Amino acid sequence: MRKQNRLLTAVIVTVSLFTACKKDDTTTIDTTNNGTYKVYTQNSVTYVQNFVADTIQGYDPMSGQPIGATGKRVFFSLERSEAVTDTANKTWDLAFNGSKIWINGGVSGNKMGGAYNVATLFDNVTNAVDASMKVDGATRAITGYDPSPNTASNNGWYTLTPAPPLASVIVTVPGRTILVRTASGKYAKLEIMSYYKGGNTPSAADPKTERFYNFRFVYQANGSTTF
Amino acid sequence: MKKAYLYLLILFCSVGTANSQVDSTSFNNLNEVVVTATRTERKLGNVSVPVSIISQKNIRQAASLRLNDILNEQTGIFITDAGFGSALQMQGLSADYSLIMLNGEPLIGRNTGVLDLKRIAVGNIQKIEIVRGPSSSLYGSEAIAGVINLITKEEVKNKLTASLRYGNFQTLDASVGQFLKINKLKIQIFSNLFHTQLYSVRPYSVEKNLEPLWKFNHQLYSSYRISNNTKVTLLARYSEERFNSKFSTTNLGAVVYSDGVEKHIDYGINPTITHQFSAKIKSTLRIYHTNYQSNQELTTSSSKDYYDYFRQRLYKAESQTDIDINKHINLVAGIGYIYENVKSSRYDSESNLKESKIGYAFLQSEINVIKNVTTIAGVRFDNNSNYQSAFSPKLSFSVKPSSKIHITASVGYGFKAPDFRQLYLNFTNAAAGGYSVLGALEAKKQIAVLQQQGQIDAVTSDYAKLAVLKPETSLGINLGISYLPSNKTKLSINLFRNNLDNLIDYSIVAYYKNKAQIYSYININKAFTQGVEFNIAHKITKYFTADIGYQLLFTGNQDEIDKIKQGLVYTKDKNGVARKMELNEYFGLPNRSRHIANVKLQYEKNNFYINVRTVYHSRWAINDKDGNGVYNTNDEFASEYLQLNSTAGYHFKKNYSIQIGCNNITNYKDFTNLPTLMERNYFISFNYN
Repeated sequence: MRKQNRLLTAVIVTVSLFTACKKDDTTTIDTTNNGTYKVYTQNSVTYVQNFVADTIQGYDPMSGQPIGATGKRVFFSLERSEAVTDTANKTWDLAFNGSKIWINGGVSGNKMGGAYNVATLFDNVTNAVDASMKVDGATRAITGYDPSPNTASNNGWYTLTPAPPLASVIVTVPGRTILVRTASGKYAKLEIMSYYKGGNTPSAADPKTERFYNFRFVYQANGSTTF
Repeated sequence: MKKAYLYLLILFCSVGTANSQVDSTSFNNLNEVVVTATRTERKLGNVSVPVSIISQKNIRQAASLRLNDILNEQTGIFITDAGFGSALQMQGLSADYSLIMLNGEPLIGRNTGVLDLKRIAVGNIQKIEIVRGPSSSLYGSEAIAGVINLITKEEVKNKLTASLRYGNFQTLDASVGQFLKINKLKIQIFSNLFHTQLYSVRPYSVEKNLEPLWKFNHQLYSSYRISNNTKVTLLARYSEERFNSKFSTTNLGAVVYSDGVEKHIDYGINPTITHQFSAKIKSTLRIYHTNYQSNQELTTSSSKDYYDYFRQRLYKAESQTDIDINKHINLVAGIGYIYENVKSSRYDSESNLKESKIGYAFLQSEINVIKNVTTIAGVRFDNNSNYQSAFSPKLSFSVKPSSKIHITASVGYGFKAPDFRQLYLNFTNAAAGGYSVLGALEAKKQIAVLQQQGQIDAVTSDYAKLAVLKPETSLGINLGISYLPSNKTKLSINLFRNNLDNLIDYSIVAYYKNKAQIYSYININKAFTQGVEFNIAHKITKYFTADIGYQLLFTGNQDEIDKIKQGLVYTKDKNGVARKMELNEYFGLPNRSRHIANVKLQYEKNNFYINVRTVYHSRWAINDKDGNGVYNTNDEFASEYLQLNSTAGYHFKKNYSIQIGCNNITNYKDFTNLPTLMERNYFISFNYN
């Protein structure tokens, strides 16, 4: 019976990873949510807290579909260090919905965006390699789920613990840095620190507090690839 | 808590009133005969590998009903329950790596590598022998951590036994057994019924968790002496378990009800014939068939009903010959053949039989040329149809420099064959994004078909590693000393190290066009376990004995350690900022306690006994909380715990006895990590013997 329940929960959690996103791109930052959205800079690193990417109330226990999701993406500009809307000028650099992140390039945008993941500590990443930049296509440029972080199998920014098919929490993998080429062709390095409200990654799956991005980045305004 | 104190008070009051005479506690059992260590009858004090014995008296005085009850109180054994039943962990190795046998024949029906110890009733077990360290040189696959052999022996005279026990949660256990001796024919029958209101609490469920569980065990053992030199035996057993399942899952007001049954059937038949050709040559032919099946059917108030079917059958024939070449050298040689098949709804088609054929041969030589030194060299070869063959040698020594000291040393290879799931699984979770898990023999074939259909997006680097699975192998070293400083004390210590290689794990081998993963099994990991096991038995007074056991355990994955040393493993500080992880933060394998201890205090006088038994486990890693894929001090641990059990018994009018007991006196609860640990419960039982 335990097995059964675990299976159900596994379904719930796993489905969340595959939930398709409708590309109805209007921003909905929900600052009325308890976790307060905040951006500040410290030692030339910009910290973003509780950037809400379409929060949900839970998952349908049988279908695994998120309850209360709008499917709408939220947008962030690394250049302006703030949440933006996807208006006609398309100045966003990153778009988020659930655990998916898009860049403003390839099939996702008409700007110069690109990205790739590395398994290096944020502080130790000294430069971006433009030739390594990927754009969104059939696969998104930013790799999300890493099923095996200790083998650095794909350098994805999160893993699921415990591993599916058990009920999982989305846990950011330490030492994973995302190198981003912004919409305007500048470079940034980015570390996602938590996917949960207040940066408190829970021990057990907690859908109500997930989809709160806590990340930090360094944006190189002069167009150089070094940080 | 009050109740518990009252209970203790009653117990100790009764200690005070019980009166005099002899005691028969024999903690010094070095003359006891064991069979599992060498496949021949040897005195415990002469074997060259670590062996411990649990006697029927131990089982009864601990009031154990199922195998997990009694094993949980043994040194170095850790019973976990991760959802596939009560799993045995020995020398820090998971359930997959221990062989569990009944009268020398393996029990089957593992779920994800776990043979549920709760399936096995111990009411008619005369003795349990536990051999630690790799024993594949005699028993083949799975005997990596060791072997647990449950033995039903013949009684000496006609005898009827009956027992009835009742406890909290409407736990009822009833047994009846009869031993009959009709000339040369001996018959022993045993039946057991176990019933309880299933005890489990799920914090995230509105489930009323008191649904009944029924278990039936029947066993027939008979032997017949055809002549002075020839004996035949037959063991037949049947057991059935039924779990009624009625539960609901709720998520923000959306409640789904599930209702159904789960049923397990396990039977086995095991005829043997032993013939003594001469004083020096003896042969045994053993035939064994066993079947395990599990059905689960659930109807739910939502859309998807659940159906699961699994059936495993094993047929085995084995011939063993023991030859005493001269008084210094003894040989044991055997050959055998095992045919196994499995049908399951989780494979490609339920009607398709999946088969495994193993031919094997083993040879063991025991040499006693030097006085007080015994050398045993053994080797076994297993040739299998589905994976690479395995060669398992073992060498062991026993030295007795004095009558008080016994030193044992052994080094051996163990292996575990890839199981049916790892070979044949063909499971797609349609509701969960359509990921698939394919067995190693299915993966390339299925992926090729999917590629033809244009369903595959890409294969990963691990796809290239898909190959014929190798057995998981181990090299185990054990070094033990036992010392008897006086006839009141026995000390023993055993050091062990197990190096495991080619461990099988699942990995993503391809992606569907919709990005859903396809997993399969490959040989990737290396791991080790090492530690020390310590036992002391001491007779404090004529009536009062103490047994203390302790195991210190270190485990790890060599690849992980290498990566940490290279500075490639990171963890997070409390703000979520990543940093490099240090080697001293590494914790090793999950679900293992570094310290396990047990203390048993027993007072026994005349017809009365009382004991208090304690089991302690230090914390164990359960969840990779920092997401780095290894277990370190930053991760989540189940908290240490202490379990206290007590039993008292009184024997009267020659054949009757009464027993009362309390388990989990401190009422320790951890629903998440110890889901099957019952809250404090009491029982009373009546026995006729």
